[in-house]
Amino acid sequence: MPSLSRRRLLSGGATSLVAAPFWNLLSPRAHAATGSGHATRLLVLFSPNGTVHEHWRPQGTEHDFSFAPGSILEPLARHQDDLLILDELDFWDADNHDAGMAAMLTGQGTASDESGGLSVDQYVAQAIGGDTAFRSLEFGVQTSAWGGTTSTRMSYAGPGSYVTPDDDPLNAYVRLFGDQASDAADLERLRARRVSVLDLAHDELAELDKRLGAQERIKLEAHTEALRAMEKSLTSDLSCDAPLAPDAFSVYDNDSFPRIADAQLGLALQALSCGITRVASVQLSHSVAPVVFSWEGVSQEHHSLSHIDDSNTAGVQDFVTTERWYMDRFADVLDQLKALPDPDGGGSLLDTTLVLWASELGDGRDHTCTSVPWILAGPAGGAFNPGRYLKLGGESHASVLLSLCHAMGLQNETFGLAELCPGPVGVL
Amino acid sequence: MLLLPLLPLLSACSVGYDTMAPEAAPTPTESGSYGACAEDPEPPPRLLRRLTHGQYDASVQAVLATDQAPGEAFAPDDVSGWFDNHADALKVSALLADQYRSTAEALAAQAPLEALLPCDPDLDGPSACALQFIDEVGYAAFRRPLAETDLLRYHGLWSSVASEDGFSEGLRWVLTAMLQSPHFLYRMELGEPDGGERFRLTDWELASVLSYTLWDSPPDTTLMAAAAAGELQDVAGRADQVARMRDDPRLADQASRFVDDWLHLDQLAYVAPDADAYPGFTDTLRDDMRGETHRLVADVVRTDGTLADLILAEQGYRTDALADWYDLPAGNGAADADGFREVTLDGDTDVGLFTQGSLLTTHALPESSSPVHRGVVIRERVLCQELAPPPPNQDVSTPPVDPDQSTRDRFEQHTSDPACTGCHDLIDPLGFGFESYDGVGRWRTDDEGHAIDDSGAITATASSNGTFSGVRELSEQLAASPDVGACVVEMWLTWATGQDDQECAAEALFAGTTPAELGLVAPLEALLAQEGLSLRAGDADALGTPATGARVDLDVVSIDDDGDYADPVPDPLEGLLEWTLTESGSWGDGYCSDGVVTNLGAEVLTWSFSTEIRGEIDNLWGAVTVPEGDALRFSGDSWNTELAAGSSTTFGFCAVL
Repeated sequence: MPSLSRRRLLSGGATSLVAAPFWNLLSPRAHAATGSGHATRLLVLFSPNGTVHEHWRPQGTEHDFSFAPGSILEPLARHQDDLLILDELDFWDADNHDAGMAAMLTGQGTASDESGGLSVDQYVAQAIGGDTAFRSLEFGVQTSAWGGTTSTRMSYAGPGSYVTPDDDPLNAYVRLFGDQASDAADLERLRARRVSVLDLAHDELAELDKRLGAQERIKLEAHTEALRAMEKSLTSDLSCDAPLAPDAFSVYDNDSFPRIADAQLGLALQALSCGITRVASVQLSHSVAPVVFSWEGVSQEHHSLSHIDDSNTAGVQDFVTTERWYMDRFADVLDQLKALPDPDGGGSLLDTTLVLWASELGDGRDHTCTSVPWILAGPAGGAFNPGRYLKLGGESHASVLLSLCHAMGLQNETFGLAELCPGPVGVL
Repeated sequence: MLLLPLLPLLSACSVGYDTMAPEAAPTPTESGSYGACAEDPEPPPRLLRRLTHGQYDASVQAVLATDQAPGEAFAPDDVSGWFDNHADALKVSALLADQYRSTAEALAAQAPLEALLPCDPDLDGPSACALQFIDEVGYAAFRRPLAETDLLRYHGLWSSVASEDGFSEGLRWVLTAMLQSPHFLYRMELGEPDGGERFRLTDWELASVLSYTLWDSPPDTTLMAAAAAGELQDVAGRADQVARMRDDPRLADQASRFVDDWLHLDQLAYVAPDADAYPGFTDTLRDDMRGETHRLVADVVRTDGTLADLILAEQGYRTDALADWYDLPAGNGAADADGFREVTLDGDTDVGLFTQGSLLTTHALPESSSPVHRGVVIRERVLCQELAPPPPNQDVSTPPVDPDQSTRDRFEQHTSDPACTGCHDLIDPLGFGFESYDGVGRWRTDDEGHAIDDSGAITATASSNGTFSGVRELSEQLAASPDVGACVVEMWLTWATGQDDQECAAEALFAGTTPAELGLVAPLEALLAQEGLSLRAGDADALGTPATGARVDLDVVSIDDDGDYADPVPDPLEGLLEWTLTESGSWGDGYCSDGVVTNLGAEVLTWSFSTEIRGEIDNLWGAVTVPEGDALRFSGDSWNTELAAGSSTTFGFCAVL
C-alpha cells in the first residue's frame, strides 16, 4: 500500500487530497465523490511487438504537431487534442519481449517495493476499486492460446502472479450482466442461494486450511480471496440496463480477432460507464503473438512483421497497416468515451477516465525497450493537460507509471523497483 | 500450452539441461550431466492439486453421468516450467471461481436427479433420502467417503433450500455446492501423519493418484473398491490395478494428451497457414492431423510398444482427405467413425511421429516451412536443452519469402553472421533436416523450384552427436539416443507429478535407457510402482486428510426430523395456456389491467394461472381469484371457466396500491 509517512504534494491541483491523507486506505467511496483534480477511472489498453519509429513519430513540436499521412498514429488525428504522445520513453534495465512484458505495467516492482510487484492497473484498483462490483476487470483478445506465460500476461496481482484476462466476450458479458434478465424476487432468492453455497465453501476451505502446512496454504488463501471477490460481484446491483449480448465466438479463431476486439472494448467501456468497475484493461493479443491480420490483406504473422528490416518496404508497410488498425480501435474507444456520460455526473466519461495505450517493446526489430510507444489520453479529471507530443529524453517508464498513479489521486512516492523510478515526470 | 516463439537470430548461445542460462559459459552444458542425486531422496511435498480443466470435465462426467465438457472454455492456466499443469500454478482465480460457479449451477439444473437418487423420498422420508443422496454423490464427487461433518454441512444446505423450494431443488443446490467444493476441485495428496515430517497418503488419495495419472479421470468403482479394501497401500495391490487399467483405452488417451503437450501439438488448432501459400488447408485437416497422431500413439500403447516404435512407426491411420492432402495413397480396410483407415507407410519419407502433419504444421511459418521452429522443438522438447532468448540490439528480422532462394538458403544466409551462429548452430542443423516438408506437412521434392538439401547434424549432446540426411535418419538417431530417453522420461514425470526437478527421479528409474528400450507409457507405470509412492513430506504439526476411514453409518448421523419438503406440483396447464396482463391505465395510487388467456392445446381446458400483482384488487371482471401464497390464482367466472382448443377469453381488474 502507499506509504503514509512520507507524502508528497501532488502536481496538477490535487492539493486538497493532502487534507485527507487516509482516503485511499480507508474511504475510497468518499474519495470518488469528490472527483476533482484527478481521474476516477483507469482504462489500460495494450498491443504488442513494438513499433517502427519512423512511421510512428508525429511531426512538429510539443504543442504544434501532426501525423503524417499513412503513418501509424494518423487514425488518432481527430483526437489529437486529447492525447499525450510519449516519445523517448524507456524501460530502464529491461529489454526483449518477456522482460518488456513483465516490466511494462509493474515497473519491475518486487514484494518489498511500495507497489508490491503489482501492475499499475491492480495497484490503482486496490486503492480506488473498493466501491464497485469488480475491483478491476481484465478483458483479453486471443491472449491465451499459449497459456499464461510472461509473454502472454501484462497484469500482475503480485510478483510473478499473473491476472488472467477473460478472452471470451460472451463469458464476460454473462459475468457482468447475466443476472439482469431475472425477475427481482427471483434474483434475490438466487443470490441468497449462491451466498449459502459460498458460505459452505468458505467453511470447507477454513477447515481444510487447518490441516495444511504453511506451504500448501497459499493456494487456499488465493481461493478464499477469489470467492470473496465473486461474492461481491454476485451481490452488487447494476445501475444501468444490460446492453445487447455479444455474439458467441470461437475465441482463438484468427479471423475473428477484429470482432472479438470490438466486443471486448465495448464491454470494457460499458463496465466503466455503468459503474461496474473503475479499472479495466483490454489486452489485444500478447507479446510475440502470431496474429495474422488477414482482414487487412496481410499474410504474415504480426510478430514476424515486427521484425522486418527497412530494406523490405512492402513488409514494413504491412506492419504499419497492422499498427494503424490498432490505432483505429483506439480512436473508436476515444469516440465512445466522449459520447458516454460520466456516471458520477458532469461531463463525458473521457473527462474522468485516464486511458493508457501501452506496448512492451520499442523498435521490435531490435528487441529493445527504448522509445517504447505509449500514449495517454484524456484530461484525467484535470491532472493532465493533453494535446501534447512529449519527448521524454529517456525518462524511466516507471516514472510515467508513478505520474499515472498520481493522476488517479494516489500518493505513492515510487512505483515499481524504487531505483528505476526517480520520481514523477515533470512535463506530465 | 506454451508454443515457443520463433527464436530469431541469436548472437551467443548457451544450452543447459533443463535450465535457462543466458549468462552461462558459452560452451554448452552437455545433456545428461546431472548433478549428484541423493541416495535416499526426500518424498515429494504434500499437495493440493487443483484439477486441470480436462480432469474437471472427466470428473463432472463421472459424477453426473453427462458428456458435457464445460472445462474446455475455462480460463487457461499458467505455464510453469515445461507444462501448464504444475501443481503450484493451478490456482482458483476470481474469474475461474465464477466459471466454476456458473457451470455448477447449469450442470445441477440439468442433472438427472432420479438416476442419481439411491432412495425414494416418499418411502424413506425426504430428509433421510437427501442424506443418502449426499453420501452417495459426495463419495463420487470427493473421491472418498464423506465424514460426518461433510454430511451435516451438505444436509444443512439441502434442508434450508428444501424447506422453501422442495426436496429436488434442495438436491440441486447440494450438487451446485459440491461442484464448487475444494474437495471436488482439488486432488488432495495430504495423507495422514506417519511420524515426524512424514505423511502417508490414504487409500482414497492413492486411488486418485492412480486414476488421474493413468486416465486423467476420477477412480472407477473397481478402484474405489480396492481402496476401500486397503489394497492400494502395497506395491502388489497397486500393480494389479495398474495392470487392469492399462488395458483401458483411457490410458491411450492419456498418452495422446502427453504427446500433445510434449511437442505443443495442441497449438495446431491456432496456427494460421496462409490461404494463398497453402490453398485448400482446412480446419478438418487440422483435426485429421491430430487424429493421425492420436491413433498412432494409441496403437503404440495398445501393442505395448516403445518410444522408438512411435518415432519410427511404419503403420498409421489417415482419413482419405488427409492422404489426399499428403498426396499419398489412401488407406485400406474399413474406416472408423471419423473416417480413418489403416495405412502402411513407406518407412522413408513417411515414417513415424516426426513426419506427421501435426508436428510439421504446428512448427512452421504461415507461408513456409521453418527450420528454426522445427530445430527448436527437437532441441528443447526432445533433447531437453533449453535455449536462451536472443539478446537485444541484434538484427532479428526473419528472412522474407524470396522466390529466388530456397528456404534453407534464406535462413543460412541470414544466420551466417558470426554473432548469430552461436545459437543457430544448435537449432538450424536439426531444423534443416525437415526441409523436405512444407509448412503444412507435405513431402516435397523441391522448394518452390529450388533443390532441397535436408542434411543436418545433432550436436552438443552427451552421446547423440552425428550427421544425418532427412527426417528418417534423424528419427533413427534420436530413437537410439539415451539423451532422448532421459529427456522424455523427465518430461513424462514432470507432466504426471505436477512437480519439476524430476531429473533424479528419471535417472533412478531409467538411467541410460534409449527410446528403443523405453515403453511409451513405462514412466507412468514405473512412477506408480514405486515403493514410496504414498509418502509425502510436510510440516510435522499439520493434520491429515479430512476423511480417511470407511463410509459413515447414516443411521447414526443426527439430522433434523422430516419436515414439509414436498416438491411444488408443476402447473398441469404449463405449455397449454398462454396469458397476458396489460396495464390499461394508472393514476397516483391505482391502476387497471386487461387480461387475455388463450388455450394453446388441442383439447378443451378449464383455465387458471397464478401470478403476483401489485396492490389489492378492488374491481374484477371476467375472472375470479383465490390467494396462493403471495400470489393470486386467476380462473374463469361462471360463464368462461372453460376454453375451447385455440380460443381466448378476456378479463380485467383495477387495483389500489
